[in-house]
Amino acid sequence: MRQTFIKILFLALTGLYLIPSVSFAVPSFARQTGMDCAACHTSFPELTPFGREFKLNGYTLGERQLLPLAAMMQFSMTSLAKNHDNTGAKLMMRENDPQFDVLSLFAAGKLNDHAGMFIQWTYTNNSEQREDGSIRGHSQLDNTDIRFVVNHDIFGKNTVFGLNLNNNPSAQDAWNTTPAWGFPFNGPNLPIPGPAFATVIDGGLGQQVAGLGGYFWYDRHLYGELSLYGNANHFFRALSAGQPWDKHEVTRVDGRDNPYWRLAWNEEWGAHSLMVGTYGMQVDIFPDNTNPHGPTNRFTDTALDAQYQYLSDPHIISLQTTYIHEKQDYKASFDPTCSAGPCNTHDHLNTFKAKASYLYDRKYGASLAYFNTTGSNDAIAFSTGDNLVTKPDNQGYVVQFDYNPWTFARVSLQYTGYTKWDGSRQTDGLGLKPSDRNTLFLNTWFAF
Amino acid sequence: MNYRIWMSLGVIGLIASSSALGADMGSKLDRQLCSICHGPGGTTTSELFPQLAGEPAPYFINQMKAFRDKSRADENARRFMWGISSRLSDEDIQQLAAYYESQPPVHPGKISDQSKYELGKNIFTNGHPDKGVPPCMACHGEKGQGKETTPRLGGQHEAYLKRQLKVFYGNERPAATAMHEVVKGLSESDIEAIAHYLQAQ
Repeated sequence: MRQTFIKILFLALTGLYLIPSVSFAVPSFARQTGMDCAACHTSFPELTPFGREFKLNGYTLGERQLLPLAAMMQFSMTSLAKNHDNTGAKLMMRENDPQFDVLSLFAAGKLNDHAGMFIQWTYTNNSEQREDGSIRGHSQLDNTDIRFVVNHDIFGKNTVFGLNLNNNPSAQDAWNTTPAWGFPFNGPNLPIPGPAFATVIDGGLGQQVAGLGGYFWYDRHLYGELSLYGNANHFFRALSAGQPWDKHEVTRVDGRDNPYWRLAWNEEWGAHSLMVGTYGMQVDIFPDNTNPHGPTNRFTDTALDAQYQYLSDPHIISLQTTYIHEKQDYKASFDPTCSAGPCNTHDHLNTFKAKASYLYDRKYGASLAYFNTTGSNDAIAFSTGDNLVTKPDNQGYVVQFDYNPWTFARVSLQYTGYTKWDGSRQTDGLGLKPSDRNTLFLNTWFAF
Repeated sequence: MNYRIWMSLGVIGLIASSSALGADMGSKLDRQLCSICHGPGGTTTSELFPQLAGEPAPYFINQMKAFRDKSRADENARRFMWGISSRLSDEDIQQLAAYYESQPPVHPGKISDQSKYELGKNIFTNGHPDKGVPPCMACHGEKGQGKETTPRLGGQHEAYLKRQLKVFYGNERPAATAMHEVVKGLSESDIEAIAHYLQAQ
């Protein structure tokens, strides 16, 4: 029954795609503004200066649409360098098998002259592997960002003041350096293991929390924001729709006042656009997801980031980098005997990411990215059960080639190489070297 | 600061709905919208977007209306200006035109190729009589400053001038009937030369 439903939905949406008048980007935004995707995106989802302006102004530019709906689909094929461990068990099902992977629906657009929304719902066809080895799909609310804005002159300069509600720290950000909209913009959608450890701001709370905050955007130069996060439960439950609450697998955050901050300086001259900024978050997390009471561990992330874009015809260059330092204070679960909780009172993680892209005529793109995470040695906090060195370290690179036949469609070939995996450059307990995890991902992505 | 936010929350709604935005609507629209691409006061160093400062108002008005009714259809017009112009009333366009006409134009261009510059100057001043190309300055003014419905060219970005002159080979700016005739007598290298001359004016 569900299979049939999905097939019908798929056919219906494919049909919609073939109607020539249908438009682009988050296509409902394009329909609203009357502009091409290229006005706001270099290569989606990366934003141009105009795209940032549109977002920070609360998606209010243009004509309100009766149904501000859009959709995005991905088809892909994934290959692993080595698809079995030393017991012969497969790491991934459906290798080298073309898959319909992802369907997203968007309700995105202007609500009135002072309010707008970006709401994404995503169905992942190959979400997780069941005990019997079969794969099941899953749908959930994805990144959500709802805004209320006013424009006001301060010292003779135009200033945007905004209120924001979102469900992923940095989903509200307008630069592609912060985690939610950072590179790689997509990757294998099959249930394969990725590196086990990352900072909490780097996707650790996505769609599990609700953040409410305020920001200002002064004279297109200075951006400042303070938001407060708590679990997306009770009143905010809709923002975590589709999360495994029933299995107690949602990260439990204490209170609604975990701060996220952001300060960025932005400069545009000619074809150049530069941003230098800082962002961060402090969040108190219960050691046990099933029992959100009592003392908590504190994670403090402090990050620096910078972005440079050169936008001309036909050349576009874009560079992003960020460095995140995380301090983990295990005051609630530290165990000096190193059995029931982290061995250290304090651990840390440092993540560095950098990416460079070149785009020709908005059609042909190439990107090169580097990522590196290092951290403390902790036999409990940084153990996966299979890693022999209990550090959170991972390191590698991404090489990606894109072809955008239209501004709303992309074919890309992405190769991710690992030089360190879950703590070590050496063979792990599964008999796998980091490079055995290297992944080749062929992907088609389009929005309509 | 907080006080200001709450004050503005209350007051802005009233201001916005009253529509009595007064004579500085042009500069306000410039700050909030146009300057994102065209730079504050219509002066930008980005070659993707034309300079607007000092543009004769009648030309500006004609172009904005051509974007709005989609009769001007070159690539960037479609990408950017169709959408932007669709929300502007005749009065907004008038106000913007008056604002940009009053802004001092800039002259940032430099001569990097003297022989190209001289060729451009020659065509601009004398035309190509044998190919039926009239002197550009006959309509665009001695320094390419423009007049009435004829645009300012002096100080415009070289890349923009080249792109637009090539647009006249096709029919994406149907209102520019004179230019469709003129470019028939211009080779690509003539266009390069004219653009190089004009950006330095």
